[in-house]
Amino acid sequence: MPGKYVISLTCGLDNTDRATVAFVVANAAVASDKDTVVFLSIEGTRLSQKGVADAVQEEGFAPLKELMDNFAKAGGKMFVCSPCFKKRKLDENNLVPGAAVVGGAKLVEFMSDGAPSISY
Amino acid sequence: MNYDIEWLAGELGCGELVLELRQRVRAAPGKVFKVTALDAGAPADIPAWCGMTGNPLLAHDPASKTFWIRAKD
Repeated sequence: MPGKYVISLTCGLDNTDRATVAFVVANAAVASDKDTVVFLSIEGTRLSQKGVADAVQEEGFAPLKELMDNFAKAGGKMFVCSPCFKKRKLDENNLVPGAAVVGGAKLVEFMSDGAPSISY
Repeated sequence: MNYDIEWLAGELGCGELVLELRQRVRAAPGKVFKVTALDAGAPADIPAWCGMTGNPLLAHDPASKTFWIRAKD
């Protein structure tokens, strides 16, 4: 069953519970053969940087880094909000696997022919 | 029911369960898997995943929390 799926994540280390569940659901989507994008914006943008997620593990869940690594290995993509990225002075040479800094047009293009989405 | 490969998924659930299941099923096209999954969401998730991905669910025994799935070719 082809199709797209978008998970919008606005949280990072400020709410690791939301960030973790977002990637659990993202993994369910990519495992179900959906063309899946996690849109990292606001504080979620910080998760695009190597090392940021390394110490996060919510009780009852796999470590966040493992969830993110598995998502990328399975073909999942992370779109990182360009203005949020610039505002936080993050490093484009320190992106985690699967992440790409994009402007709004890229997200709009991805969703323009219809894509279910869920927000965290 | 006969099977080729058994996987004890334990307490894995939600995205972790189906992502691991996908990797195993993709590595063995045509094989029948016997999967035991203890997560409370598995009886809803595994049939849904099978339907979305085209890997037929051959049988489900709720009592033993076991699923038989044929990996698509």
